[in-house]
Amino acid sequence: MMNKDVATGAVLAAFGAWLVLEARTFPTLAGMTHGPGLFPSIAGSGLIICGLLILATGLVKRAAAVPVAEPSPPMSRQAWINTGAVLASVVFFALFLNKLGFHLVAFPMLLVLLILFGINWLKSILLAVGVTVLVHLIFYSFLHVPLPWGLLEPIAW
Amino acid sequence: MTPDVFLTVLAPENLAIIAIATFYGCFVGAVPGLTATMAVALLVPFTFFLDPIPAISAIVATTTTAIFAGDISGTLLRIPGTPASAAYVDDAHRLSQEGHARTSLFVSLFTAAVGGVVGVLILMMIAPQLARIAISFSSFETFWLACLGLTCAIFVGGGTVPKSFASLCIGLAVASVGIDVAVGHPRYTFGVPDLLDGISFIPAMIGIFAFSEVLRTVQNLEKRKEAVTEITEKVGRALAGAFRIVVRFPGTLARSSVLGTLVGALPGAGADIAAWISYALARRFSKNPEKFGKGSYEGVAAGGSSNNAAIGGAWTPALVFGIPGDSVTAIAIGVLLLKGMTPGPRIFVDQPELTSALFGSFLVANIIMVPVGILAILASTYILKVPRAVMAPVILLFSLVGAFAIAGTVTAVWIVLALGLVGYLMEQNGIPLAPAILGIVLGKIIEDNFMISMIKAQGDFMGFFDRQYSLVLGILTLGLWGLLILRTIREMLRAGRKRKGVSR
Repeated sequence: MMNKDVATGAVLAAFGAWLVLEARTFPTLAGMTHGPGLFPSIAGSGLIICGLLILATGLVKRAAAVPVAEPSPPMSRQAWINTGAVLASVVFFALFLNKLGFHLVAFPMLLVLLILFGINWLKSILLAVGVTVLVHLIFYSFLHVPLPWGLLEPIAW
Repeated sequence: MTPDVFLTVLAPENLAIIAIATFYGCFVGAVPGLTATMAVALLVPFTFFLDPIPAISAIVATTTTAIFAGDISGTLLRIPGTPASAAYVDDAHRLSQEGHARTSLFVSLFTAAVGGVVGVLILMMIAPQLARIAISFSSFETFWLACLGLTCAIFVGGGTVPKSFASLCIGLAVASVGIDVAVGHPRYTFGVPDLLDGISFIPAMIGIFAFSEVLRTVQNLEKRKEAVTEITEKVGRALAGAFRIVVRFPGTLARSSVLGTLVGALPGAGADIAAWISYALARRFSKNPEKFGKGSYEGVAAGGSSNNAAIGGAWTPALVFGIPGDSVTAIAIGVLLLKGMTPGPRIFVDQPELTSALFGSFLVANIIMVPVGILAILASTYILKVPRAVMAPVILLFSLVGAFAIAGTVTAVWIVLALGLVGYLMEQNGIPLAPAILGIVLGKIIEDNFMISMIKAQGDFMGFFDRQYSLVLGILTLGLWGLLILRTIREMLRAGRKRKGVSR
């Protein structure tokens, strides 16, 4: 059985090593042995040590075939699709917020996710419109957050 | 408390905000999977546009009710609405199966209010005293205190020592992004100008607590098999019954509330750990310990009061030292910093009206919680019917817009994405989140004070032990580090022994 700790430990240790390597390029304070690199180095070294410890326990457990209590059952295909859709919609939101404007980003994002999650068409459209308008009213009208209008600039209100 | 503080706390706007926050907290807390911390993280973009006192009131009221409302789904579905209700979920659910759903929920509500009030009273008495000592602290003591807070988080965070420590290091690494204090060198910014200021705290919290929750929710959208327990109980009878039950356990209530406050004050330990400890202790001292786990009102009362008391407790170190006691106060500190206020002993001297108003809001929130809670209990079956398929996209949009509103740039949305993924992966792999949160909040404090102290002491590390308080705090911290190393070795030995046991 695949033991998660082995992978977790390896990733953590690698990340720590990268932190330390990067920190070595930072300048030091005049006349002192420490500088901006000190704390990142401590965090990085800590991660290397912990990563290796976690890796070691993982290997020991694997060698002993200790049944690992998996926190969650393996993900279904639908779960993977849903996760991918959420991640993709955030990327879409971040990339196009300023170009298309808030409304043209939020509405399709909500609509696609709602339909994908099994809500019927009519409800999805109503909900997507309603929530987009609600967020507009709360953040733009009430809290005066400058949500970008993008393509809808000509009809901004 | 002076009259004008009364006026601020009881001003109609403030009361309205507290009331709205109570409803909001009730809803989020009652929905399984949505935690009190997530409720606060999503609330922050709104508080950002409020004055400090209503902002803090809103946070306090939301947390208080969310922790109580976690009992609603715990009782009716056997799924704790927030982790803080996990300790006594079996008792509460068994009671509801026996037809006492409303009585059990009213017991939860009343004990939550009692615990909450006790927590605030202790906070009101102790915080100013501690602040009087803390006011003489210099950068040396602040450094040690922050270290102590981080060490404490590793101790109580749950999870093995290497994993908790790794979590802390991740937090420190996140905190070190941006221009450094000593020479102004940009670190880990990848040439992104928005990162020069560091990773903004609020988008980071929204990512870790709200976005990761959305990911978990959408992976588990199938209709729940557990049926909501039918409620047939008469409301009046249930109210009267609950009141009699609460009066029957004054000792348990007092002990759990005080214990909850103390546990809450430990950095890294929050309402959930407080509930577990109080529940275990109540069983130890109970006249009928055999009923625990099988529908004990005493167990519900113990856990229900102590998790709400822990909320007040968590504010003690946050207000006095600027060291958060749990993830909610970590967010609250972030909010105060955004408003240009640095939590710490000076706040008691410079802005006494703020601390008094905070205490006042706490009391008011606990009082308003009772009627709102009764409404929520009556409407509970409807609250639990809102489908998660609708909630996930809505929460997602609110988190993204909220992060954008706070920071004003799209970089905040990327931070939500990146740290949300990190938080999600950490939870999936058994790495506790609390140490990382404290690392993010305290990382800068530790580094700033270390650098300032080093410059003061001209590079002599013994300077950290020169002053009376710093000597005590330093020795305490080093002692705890020793204990941590011992615990790591013990954990490793136990793992090794397990291996021998299996191969034999």
